[in-house]
Amino acid sequence: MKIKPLYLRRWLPVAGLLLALPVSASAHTAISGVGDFFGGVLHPLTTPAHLLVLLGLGLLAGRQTPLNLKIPLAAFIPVSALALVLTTTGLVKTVYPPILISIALVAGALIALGRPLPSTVIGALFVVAAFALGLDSAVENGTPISITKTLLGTWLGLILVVADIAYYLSFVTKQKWQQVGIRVAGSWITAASFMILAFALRR
Amino acid sequence: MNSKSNPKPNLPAWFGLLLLALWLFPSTASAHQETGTVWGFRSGFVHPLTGLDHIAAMVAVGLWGVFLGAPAMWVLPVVFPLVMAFGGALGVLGVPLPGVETGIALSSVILGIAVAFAVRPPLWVAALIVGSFAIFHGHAHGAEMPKAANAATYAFGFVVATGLLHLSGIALGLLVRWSWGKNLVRVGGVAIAFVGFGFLFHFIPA
Repeated sequence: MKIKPLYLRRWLPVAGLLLALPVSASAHTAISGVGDFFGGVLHPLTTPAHLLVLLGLGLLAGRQTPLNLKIPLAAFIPVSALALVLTTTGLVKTVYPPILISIALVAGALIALGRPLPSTVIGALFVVAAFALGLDSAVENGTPISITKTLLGTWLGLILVVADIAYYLSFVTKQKWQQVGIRVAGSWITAASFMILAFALRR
Repeated sequence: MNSKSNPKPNLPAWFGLLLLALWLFPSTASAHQETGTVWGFRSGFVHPLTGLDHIAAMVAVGLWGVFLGAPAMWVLPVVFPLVMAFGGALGVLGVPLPGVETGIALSSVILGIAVAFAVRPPLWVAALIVGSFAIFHGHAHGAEMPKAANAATYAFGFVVATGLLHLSGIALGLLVRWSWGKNLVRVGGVAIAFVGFGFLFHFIPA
């Protein structure tokens, strides 16, 4: 089943605007002054490795014509939720950075190749990415309520970023030069990921 | 009032926005190290733009791509960052690569000559030439990466800046659709080769 564009048009821009809403000041979040929930929402945008992965996933899903976000989001939403819940057990505090960057590298390479991909491949990449991103978004300290708020915000932020990129990209995939532009962007993601991997291995 | 008494301003609206953006663009205090996410991106983005040898070669890739026509025009800007990242990784890991500066200068010479003479080899040859030089450029970026910079944003910054230089070359190269533009682009190739010779024989300071 395809997600209806009308449905996306209603909730994605509104939810995107929610990202910009100010809330009362709080000094205990990663971003001072935005509160637990919005600190969580903004977390994927302020973590470069996460943003690189989400950019890769968004471009990968959005370049498919016709746009079909059902499988990617059906994979991404529950798995990221599961991973975020797992962070509360304290078993995993962070994900080995090269794993996250490798996901971005694979996504970028698939975009740069420019070949149509089976939904299963995209879905599998979304599952792996959702799990890694979720596990890497652990909240280090706070009350149970503030941790819950932050994780909920992070979950929403992850979904919004990837869905927004994919959705809006789908408007610019019709022309040949636009498709080439997306492939070039994929090569940039791959190149940057490769460099970051090297840097991570050096340390 | 009619339009004669109230003429439209000569400057387009975007110029004001550009000025505002420039005004907001932060500069670094000399006592501060470039740390953090934003500084990492800035540091990486500015790096390819601070060397005439890099700029000349990157623009030449775009110009040559236009002369070669599709699909080379787009294949080269896809190939270059990928191979450049390999060179960059070598630089980051501290793997020595002999003749990096010579390779970078030669890239301007060869690519400039290719543009000046509108050389049209097969696509795989062009990709091989461009890819070979990309390793030297990437190695220089990787080796000169500041220790304090955020790796992710530094890498993304210099890849994006390099890509934008390619696109600038392609945009300039699109002048070839006019005969005068073709000549202008070829003269540009001569200038790029000249810059390359300058760096190669040190009459342009590195």
